[in-house]
Parts: sequence; structure tokens; C-alpha cells
Amino acid sequence: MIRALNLGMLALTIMICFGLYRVTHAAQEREGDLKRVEAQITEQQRAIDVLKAEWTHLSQPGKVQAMAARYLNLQPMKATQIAYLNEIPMRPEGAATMDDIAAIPFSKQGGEPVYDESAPVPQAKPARLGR
Amino acid sequence: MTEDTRARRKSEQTDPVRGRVLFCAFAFAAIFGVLALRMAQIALFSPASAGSSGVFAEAGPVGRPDILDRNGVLLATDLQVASVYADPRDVWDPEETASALVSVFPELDEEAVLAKLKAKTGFVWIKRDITPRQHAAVHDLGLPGIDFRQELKRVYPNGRAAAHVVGFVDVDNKGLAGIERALDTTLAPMVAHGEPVRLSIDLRVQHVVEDELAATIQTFSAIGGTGVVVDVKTGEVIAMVSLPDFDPNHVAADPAENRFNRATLGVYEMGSTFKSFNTAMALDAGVTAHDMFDARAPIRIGRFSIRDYHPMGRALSVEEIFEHSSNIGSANMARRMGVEKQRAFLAALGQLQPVVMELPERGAPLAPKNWGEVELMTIAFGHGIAVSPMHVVTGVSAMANGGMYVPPTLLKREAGADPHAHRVLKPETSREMNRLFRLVVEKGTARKADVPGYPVGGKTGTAEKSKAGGYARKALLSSFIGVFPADAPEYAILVIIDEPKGTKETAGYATGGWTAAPATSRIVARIAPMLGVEPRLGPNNEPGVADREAEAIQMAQDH
Repeated sequence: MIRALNLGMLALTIMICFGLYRVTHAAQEREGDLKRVEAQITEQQRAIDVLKAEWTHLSQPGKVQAMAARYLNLQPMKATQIAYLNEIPMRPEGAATMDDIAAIPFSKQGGEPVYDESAPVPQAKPARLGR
Repeated sequence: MTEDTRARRKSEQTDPVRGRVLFCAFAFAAIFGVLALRMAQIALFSPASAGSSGVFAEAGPVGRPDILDRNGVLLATDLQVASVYADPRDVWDPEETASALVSVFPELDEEAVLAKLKAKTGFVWIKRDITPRQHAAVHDLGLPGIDFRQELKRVYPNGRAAAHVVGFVDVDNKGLAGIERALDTTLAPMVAHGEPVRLSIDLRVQHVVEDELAATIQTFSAIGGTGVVVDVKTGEVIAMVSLPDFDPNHVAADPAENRFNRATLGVYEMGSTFKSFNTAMALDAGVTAHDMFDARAPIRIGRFSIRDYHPMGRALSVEEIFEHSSNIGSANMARRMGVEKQRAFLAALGQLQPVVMELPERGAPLAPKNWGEVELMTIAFGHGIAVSPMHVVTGVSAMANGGMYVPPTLLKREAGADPHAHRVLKPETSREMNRLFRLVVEKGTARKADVPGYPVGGKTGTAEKSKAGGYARKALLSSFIGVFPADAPEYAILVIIDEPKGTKETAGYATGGWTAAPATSRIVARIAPMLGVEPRLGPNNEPGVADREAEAIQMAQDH
């Protein structure tokens, strides 16, 4: 009986030792993961801070103004270019609706749209805008 | 001895042994049981953070709060930068190490590096504030005794913009000027740790004011200038420019006098812009805009003589005095009010104390010690008292916003926050002042300040700078204080040009109406759409639908 008890205890001790080792090992591994992820977060946060500062530096109003003057054919907006909503005329009676536009037929063979030759065409943009 | 007794004796001998063994077995079983339970508990229920409490200690040194503009654009931030140092005791081969380091940092002197590496010490800086690329290069060299230390560096990504407002720090990241300095002193208790500080400045408006001011200074070969834009209802400073300026990233690169903030620290005799206060004081005391004052001949008092630049030679109404900027008329208006009333009014307008705001750089006004009849009359047209440009903007805001003195602030005010205002003028007086401001732009000295669609009101000023006991005829301080939109002002703007010289285009004139007023016009045209001011397109400059037909005709004629 004593022998059986001793053997049982020995087995239990071995199992506990093994279990303890595994748990400790797993815990250490997790801790390592955690430290790695936290270091990664700090690193990324630093990178974000640097990028933010760089973005702000590059998008300074003065720099944007110089670029706009060089590459864009734009001028400051004038007050007279602002209109009120109620200045825009209402759709006249009997004007085309979205359904009418959707119902414009395409030619059956090639699926080419039918152009209305009389409609005004927007002006082509220059390949390169003036300096 | 019988068999029976022998057996009994044996059992008496063995029983205590068995008992002890069993006791030990149970004791061990109990201890191992406890261990097993505890292990199960740790394995199953222990929180994830157990044992990781030391991790955050590595997060780096504690820094200063970020400074943002009112829209969240970065004005100042902390960046972590690496610095290389050496521990000479651990360096194996100083010659080889030095030449390897110089290959990464060509600007370093190899001899000097070698001397450092042979020093009898445990720590020498090789190079501070290195780039990430250099960091990687030195790391890859794998030199023993060479290591890195992370340091925080204050960076101002917008450079010169709002440099006088934001201020700067020293090498130890201690605030030396502007908001940076206030953050270490007066603002320190108000700043939550790690939270950014949001200023009232709008960087876009700041840029426009700076851009136009610099252009005007160049056109008129002036020595400097100031531009301030304030929200008249909340007291928030939207833009504050002082030129010449400096780069807070490289403070020593510009002359030290560029750090002087003309907008808050400089005090000047403002000249005619001060007539706004004189007129408001008279109107608030019951004088009407059509009451007449004598302006026929120069006033002589003691050794002083008060004269007009464009003498009208007749009695003038309050309206005309303001429109034509008559010194004689203004002096006579002040005479009717008296010294005590004038002093009390200017004190209520905050003109006799340093402006209450967050910046440490605030100039104390120079008011006369003996405030007599002469001072009463000269102060009426802005001489004999020197205040900062910020004083004037704050005072004029009170004229324009319905009569409330609102203490100015450089921090963004949340909507609905109490601006701690107090009443200094009746609402009727404020309405009348806005009418007079508009009159000056429509018919008076500031016609060049107007903007189509965004009507401006205001008052010009041209003061001769006092130099060595007298006034210098050629050294002018030309200014324009404006409010817009004129019918219901939302913003006040002050532009001052320091010592402008007349040009061929201005027929030699360098007065406020020729220098600061057109600059204001260009600034307002650009910033009013940014600030969301509704255009006044109606036939009488009120918000409303424009006459598009007339506009089309006008455009056709222009082309």
C-alpha cells in the first residue's frame, strides 16, 4: 500500500514538474511576444510622428502656394464667384429626367453610344499648364 | 513471554513508525496539492500583463506637448533622434574605429574623433542628432564601444510661420519664448499631460498675412511690420505676424532683434488710429455724429502746436473729424470730455495695462505721468501715449462687436465658452462707430482698403516715430485698423508698416492709406473666404443675391 502511494506520488511529482515547466515556458514566450509588440508599437508611433512632422513641413501653405503658382492655372476666389443655392434655377417643366437619359438607345451592333453632334463639347485641357 | 504479548509489543513498536510515515506522506501531499492548485491558477486565470510591468520604462524620455493650430496642423512637436556616443574603455582599435566613423560622418574631423576615442573617460559624444540612415550605417559597422542614445528634439515643421507666437526652446528643451515659455510657467497647470495644446491661430490666415505683409515691406523698403487678425466676439487671435522673423528650428541663424515680437512687446505712438477711441468715448457720452467742433485754426498750448495735415479751415462735425482725420477737431472733442473721463475710458479699454494674454512678451503701455491738458489733447489723436498693436486691435474689437471688451487669447476657445467680456460702450455707440469706420473706407483716407464683396471699415494712421527728443519727419509708422464685414463685423485686422518709403506708384506717399490700407484689402480678399465670411453681394453691400447681369456686363467691359 505504501509502495503504491509512493509510486503515485512520484508520478504526480513528475507530472507537476513537467506541467510547471511548460506553463513557465509558455508564460515567458508570451511575455517576449508582448515586449516585442510593445516595442513595435513604440517604433511605429515614432515613425508616425516623424511622418506627420514631414507631411506638415512639406504641406506648408507657403510651399503649396509656390507650387500652385507654378503648376496650376488657378486664381484666388473672388466674392462674386460665390452664388446662393436659390440663384440656381429650378428644373423646367418637361425637362429630361434620369430615366429619359438612361433610355437613350445604343446602336445594336457595337454598343457605341449615339452622340448628339449639336451638343457643346468641353474644351480640351492643355497637355501642360502655363507657368 | 507469550506469543500474544510478543505480537502486541511488535505492533507497539511499529505503530509509531507507520504513523510518522503517514504524517509525512500527507504533509507532502498537502504541499504538492497547494503547488498544483497554484500552478493551475496561474496557468488558467493569470492576467496577460502579469510580469510585464517593467516594459513601459523603456518608452523613452518624457517630452513637451505638441502645439497645434486651430485646425489641428502641427506647429511644434517632439521627435526622437538618435545620438552616437563612445565608451573609449571598450574601443578595441581607435584608429580603425575613427576612420570607420568618419566614413559615415564625412563632416567629422578624423583627428578629433581619434582624440575622443583615446580619452581616459567612460563617455564621449561622437555626433548628436543623427539621421535614421546614419543610425543604421553605424549600427551595421558593429564597432565595439560605440553605442546610441535616444534623445528628444523639439521640431517646428512650419518653420518661420507664427514663430513669435509659438516661441522656441533651448538645447535642454526648456521654453525660452512665446507659448513654449508659457507652457513651462503660466500655462503649465492648464495643460493635461500628453495632450496637445491647440492655439487660436489659423495657419492659412497666418500665412496670407505674412505673405502680403512681406510683399508690402519690400515694395515700400520698410524695416519691418506687424499684422494681427482677431475674432471680435471671442477675442481669439487668428493670425499674429511680426516681421522680420526667425526660424525657431535654428534660432541663432537670424539676428537676435528678429525675435522681438512687434505685435505684443513693441509699444508705439499709434497716431490717428487712436481717434477711434476718442470718437467712441465722445459718442458714448452723448455727443452725436453731427455735433460740430472747432477746427478752424491750429491750437497753441505752451510750446506745442496742434495742426491738421489737410486743414479744412472751418468747424467740423464728429463724422467729418473722423473721416478727414482732423487732429484739431479730435483735440477739441477730448477737451469737452476732460482728463478723468479719458483716463477712465482708456483704462476700461485695457489701454493702460499690459494686454492680458498668454504670451510672456507683453509690453507695458507708456502713459503720461502728469496727465494734463496737453496730454488730454495729444492722446486724442494718438500721441503722448504708446501702446502695443495688440492693444489697438483689442480696443477696436470692442468698438465693433457691440461694445464688449473681450480679453484676447492665443488658445482656441470652445464654442459657447465664456470669454470673460465686460461692457465698455453702449450697443448704439458700437453701431455708430461701425458706420463711421465704413465711411472712412468709402469716402475718407482708407479707400484703398476696400474689397468687392467683403466691405471693410476702419481707420488709417500715420505717426511720426519719436526719435531723440523730437519727431522724425521721414520715419513713419503707417497703419490701418480694419473691421470686416463692415455691416456686422466678425474680425478686426491691424496692419502696421514700420518706416515705409514712398514709391513712384504712390507719388512718394508712405502714409497708412497708401501702404497699410491696400495691404489690408489684399489680405481680406484672401482670408474672408477661408474664414467663412458670407459675401456681401447685394446692391447695398448686404448679404444677398448679386446682380449677375450687371456683373456680366462689367466682365465683358474688363476684357
